[in-house]
Amino acid sequence: MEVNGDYKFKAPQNDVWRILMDKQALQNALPGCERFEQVGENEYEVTLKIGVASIKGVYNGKIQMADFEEPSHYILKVEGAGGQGFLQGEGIFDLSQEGEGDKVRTVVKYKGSANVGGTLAGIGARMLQPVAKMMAGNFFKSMEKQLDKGEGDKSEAVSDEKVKETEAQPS
Amino acid sequence: MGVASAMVGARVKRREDPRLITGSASYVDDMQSVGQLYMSFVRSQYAHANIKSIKIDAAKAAKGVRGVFIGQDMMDVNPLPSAVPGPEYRVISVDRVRFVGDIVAVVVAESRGTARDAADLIEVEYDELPVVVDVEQGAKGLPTVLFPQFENNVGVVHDMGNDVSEAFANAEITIEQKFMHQRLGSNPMETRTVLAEWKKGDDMMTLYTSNQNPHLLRTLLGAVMNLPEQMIRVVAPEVGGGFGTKISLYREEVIACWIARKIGKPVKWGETRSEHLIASSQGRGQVDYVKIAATKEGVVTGLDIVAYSDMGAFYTLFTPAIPLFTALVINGVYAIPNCHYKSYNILTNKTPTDAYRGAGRPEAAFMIERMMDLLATELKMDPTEVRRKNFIANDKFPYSSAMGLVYDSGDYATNMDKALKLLGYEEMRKMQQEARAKGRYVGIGISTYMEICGLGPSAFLAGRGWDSANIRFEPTGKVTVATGVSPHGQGQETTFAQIVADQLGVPYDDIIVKHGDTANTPIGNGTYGSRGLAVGGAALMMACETIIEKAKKIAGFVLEANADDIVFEDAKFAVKGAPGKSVTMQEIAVKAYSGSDMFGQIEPGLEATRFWEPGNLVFPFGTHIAAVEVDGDTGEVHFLKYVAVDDCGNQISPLLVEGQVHGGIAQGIGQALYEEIVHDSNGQLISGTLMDYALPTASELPHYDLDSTVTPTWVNPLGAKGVGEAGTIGSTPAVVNAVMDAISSTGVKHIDMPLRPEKLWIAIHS
Repeated sequence: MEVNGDYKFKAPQNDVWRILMDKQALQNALPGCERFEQVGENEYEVTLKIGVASIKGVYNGKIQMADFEEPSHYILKVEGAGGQGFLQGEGIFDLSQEGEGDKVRTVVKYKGSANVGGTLAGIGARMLQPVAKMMAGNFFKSMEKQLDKGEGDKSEAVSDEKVKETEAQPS
Repeated sequence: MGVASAMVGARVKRREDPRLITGSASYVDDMQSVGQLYMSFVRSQYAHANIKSIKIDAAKAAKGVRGVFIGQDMMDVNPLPSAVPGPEYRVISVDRVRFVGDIVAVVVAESRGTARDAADLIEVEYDELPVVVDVEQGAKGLPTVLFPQFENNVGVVHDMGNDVSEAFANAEITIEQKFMHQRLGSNPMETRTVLAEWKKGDDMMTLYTSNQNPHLLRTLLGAVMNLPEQMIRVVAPEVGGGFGTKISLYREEVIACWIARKIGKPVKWGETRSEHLIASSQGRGQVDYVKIAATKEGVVTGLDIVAYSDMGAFYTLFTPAIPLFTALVINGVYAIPNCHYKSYNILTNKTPTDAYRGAGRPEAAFMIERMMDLLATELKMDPTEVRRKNFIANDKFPYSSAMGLVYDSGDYATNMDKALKLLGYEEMRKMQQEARAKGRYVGIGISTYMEICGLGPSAFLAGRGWDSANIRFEPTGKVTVATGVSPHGQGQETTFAQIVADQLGVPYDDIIVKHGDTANTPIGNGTYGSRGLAVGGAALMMACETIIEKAKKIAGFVLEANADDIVFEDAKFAVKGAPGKSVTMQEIAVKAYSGSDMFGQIEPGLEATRFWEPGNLVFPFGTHIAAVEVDGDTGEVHFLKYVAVDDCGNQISPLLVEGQVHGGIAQGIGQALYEEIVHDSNGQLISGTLMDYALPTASELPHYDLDSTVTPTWVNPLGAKGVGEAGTIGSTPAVVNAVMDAISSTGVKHIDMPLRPEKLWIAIHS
């Protein structure tokens, strides 16, 4: 399965990069995060409680960030397994800035691919893509909110709630 | 014969139906056993992986959990049996899993919910392995090998028929086509359900299970558990459909028995629908390369098939034998002198396949019926004409086929003509021309199928092709029939009572038919392969014969005549030439249990058990014709008309014959247009619910115009051939032929099933 898209922050690229790299912000932005422990440099063990359609489950796994090119590129790897299935995914993030002054925007393009298995695949496959898109949208929205709080009037959330994404095909 | 009521041949409503449609039937899940516990399984999420570790402590400690077991705990259980030796199939996999749904652990707890929740607490760590999904890649050992003893994943090779090389060398025309027979889920309305009880004081195991074959299951369960067979009772109570999926002995059944014995409590399990789609055996799953040789006049001279048959990861009871049933009937109703079939049976990282309504024969019928149409197209002949040229002629029966079978009887041209007339073939072709002129996509598809039924001679079935019947007159003259077959929708409570009513001259309502319980039925071999009537019914005829013999003795005593002089006519026993004085069968039965004046000369009781070994298979046939229109804008298939004329020999119960044909056609259309088990490249099932697996409903199915011809068989005393699988076998090629005919203007010769709208839309619009 592949999920591609982008998200536009109303903030300069360096600020967006900083919040994306922030450990606490990451923990807050992860969906259903119940446990978050650093186990290495840029490596975390997590417990996530996620529901995909009717498949609600607790997944234990690892999150790893790598391939940093500050402030424009990094990779986020996620793997998790639970009673209802497993998930292995990788997201490639590319940041770029456009506009100036009040009109400054940072576009984060993401390109994600994932393998899922077990009940999650058998029952949830049909739902996975929209759910994954929604989760990506929520992730960035949360990051932006946190950026707003921390940085005050420097940036403001994009009022358009819609997360723009390119068409993606199930793998 | 005592025919008086003439129940045989009458349109009798099924006596099973009132309880089924009012919800008062008793299925396994309706049964409650005091103190029963519930099982839930941890199944592999990976198609192929080594098990690194299994953590069961949290599940074991959970409130209400009574036990957690893994593969190592059950090493005293023997691997599951198959008709052909295969890979070791343990009831719980140890060390390695080989398909999504493979059992890794089992939890037994005080409630269904507790068991399921606790199963989620079990943590299994896997090391992923490469996955064999594609059969042709698998046959090359790519990307890996499932079992080292099966080189390149090739389990068994069936190589049958005669030398076709000369036929192809001299052929005026050859046509080649690759066919995919997609995997299908079985989806009986009742999924598998199990209740196992171990009575410690009696040393007795009772297994209630939704199964097609309780007697065979009892033998196999004994062998797997090292339990003497007489200590086992298997009961298949009301069974809500089987379609072949419930013939095998399953892991869950053995595990339930093992735990019941270990813990000393009854154990229950019911398969969920999504569990069914990964854990119950699936149907079809063949890839075939088909070649025919023919003359310019359309006479087929040679047929050559190379098949890659998807076994899945293990063999259940008949898994590797299914392609064999394809092999036997590849030439269908046609007198093709040179036929060859070779199947590579490939082990893959998927759920095992096994029998599914038709079991190998739908694949054969599909291939030859599609090839007949491709030949007709090539030769610009009408598809009926090509068929007519190749039919086995009426004077050739019994017909010895190139695949080694002896066809009992047939009259294919008469049958096809009746169907053509019922459809109004000429008018329909005219209408098609008119519609085409307006740019519509209208098609007519024919299949003149045949199949083999009445499985079968024991030589085909590891010694167990026979069946049995017991007829017991009660002291009041009522009758209890017990059969060794195990109906689960076929309606033998009705048809067998019809037979006995006529044969013994007893009122239909005084006869009851029992089945499915090894404790009160004679040993038999269940219901599958359209054998219930053709084999079980034949055994019943034998038992009737024995009853009549004994009854004649009693009649002789009552009528003060020699038994040899007694005739049984119009439901009465009388002395030959002196019809004035007579006695009925029911009066004889009363005498048999109360005639103290007689017992000095004649043994009390009126009961008979007989067994029947079929001397040959039986060969039903028929013609199915579908007229369809494909919507050019959406690619959807709409039925204009559907006609089926089936010939199953003598019909005991025409209404039930029609019912079987209806259900069969529904499933055949399902394969042609809708149903498909889909795995991704990692072997993950992605059609794991009925939202993703398109099971047709009434709204997708047309009205069926049915008729029949009657060509009796000489193989059994009923002259009946069996009809349980006919509809499934005849319909799929008819529908696909019709759809391909509808879009013939596109130049596309073949599209693999299911013919979903998007495939047809693409064909039309590219």
